Amino acid sequence: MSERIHNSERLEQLWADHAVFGLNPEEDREREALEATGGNRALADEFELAAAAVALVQARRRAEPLPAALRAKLEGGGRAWLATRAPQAQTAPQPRLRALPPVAPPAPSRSIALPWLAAAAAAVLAIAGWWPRTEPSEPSKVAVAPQPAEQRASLLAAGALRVDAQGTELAKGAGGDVVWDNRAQSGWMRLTDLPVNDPTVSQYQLWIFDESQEHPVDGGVFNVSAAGELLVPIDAKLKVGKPTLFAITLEKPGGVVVSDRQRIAWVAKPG
Amino acid sequence: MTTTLQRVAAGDATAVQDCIDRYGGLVYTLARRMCPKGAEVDDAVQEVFIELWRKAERYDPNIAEESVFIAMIARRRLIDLQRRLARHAGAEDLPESLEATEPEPESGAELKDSAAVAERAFRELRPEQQKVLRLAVWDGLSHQRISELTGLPLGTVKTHARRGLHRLRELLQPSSRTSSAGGGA
Repeated sequence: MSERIHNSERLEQLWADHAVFGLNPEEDREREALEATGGNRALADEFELAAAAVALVQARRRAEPLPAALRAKLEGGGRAWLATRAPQAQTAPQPRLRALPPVAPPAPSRSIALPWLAAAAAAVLAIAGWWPRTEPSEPSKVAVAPQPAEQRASLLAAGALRVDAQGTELAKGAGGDVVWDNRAQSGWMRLTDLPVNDPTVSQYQLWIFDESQEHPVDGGVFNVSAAGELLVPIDAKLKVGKPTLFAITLEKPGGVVVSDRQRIAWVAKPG
Repeated sequence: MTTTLQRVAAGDATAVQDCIDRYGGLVYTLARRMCPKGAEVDDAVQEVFIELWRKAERYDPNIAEESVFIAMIARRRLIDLQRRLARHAGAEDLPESLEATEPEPESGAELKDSAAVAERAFRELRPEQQKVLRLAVWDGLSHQRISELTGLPLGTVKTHARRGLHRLRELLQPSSRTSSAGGGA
């Protein structure tokens, strides 16, 4: 019992540190391990909101006006987003704030992902290294049809990148493609015959390798709940400059911070 | 009442404009403060707004004030940016809020927008909690650096931060928001 209380208090301190100071990799691993044993995750979200409230108060006291040129850019971006935005209900419902995932800490930069791009270019089936992610993805965006097909088609019509994909040993016979629009920072995966996963055991996670970034970008966690063809929206957590590889791994429920090399299920490499 | 972000999520073009009008200055101010060396503030602000458009549907006014939610999204994005680029070197050396140069908060009569809830809540924290949270969140100082600057033991710095967050989250709860104004920490 006392160990449980100790763990609970320690986890709470780590969440507070995470929200305010950021955690180093060792603390981050400790946090993950303690989270796996339980704890009220909503508290972590609330700490993050509280820290944001501090930032808000300070920013408000020192408020600077938005420059006109930047305002014009934002307005243009807003119009572009509206133009590419799907008609309602094209994706599965997103979780609300109560289920917000914790953000990655402002931790010291990790250099462990350096081998990734080279390895990916050499042999997509033998990618080596670690895959840090910017934030744990929310669970379970289950693909739905048919409306996504229309959005995918409109991205293609607008000149989006399309890349053929293939399954690895882990998903023999799987295929499909990726459609990615850099301008809209959105896209779709078309998955064919990717094995159905049991979300209580494992989930699929997309990673986007970007020429301009040191680490692969987390593209979201999702499930495959039925055989055949599925369309899954890509939810890139960071802005993607020039994608060099899209890869899906099979991970523990909720996704992972780092991925081992053995569980790559599906890859799509732009030519 | 429908919030700006809820209207954005519904695809309301005027809401996108409203969001920029209402929160553009906030995001710009945060980006100016948190952008690491080598990053373009304009690019960072645009990244934050792209994220806001995409996350708008996740906003729930029953859980957080809109401005707090937006500050959280902005802070997340900017922290991501800090991780991608070198940490802002000057921030650790020049904490602007350690001394008595803190800008005066607005008077109660001026606190009309949703950010007023956060302002009132922050004012209710104990002075040492305010100081530690300000140095950590706004000046980006580590707990070690705060300990050096304030003379507080490391553990005390962390305790002030944690208790301050706890108190803030209590004060930011919907039930507290409606009563607000007054009461000591």
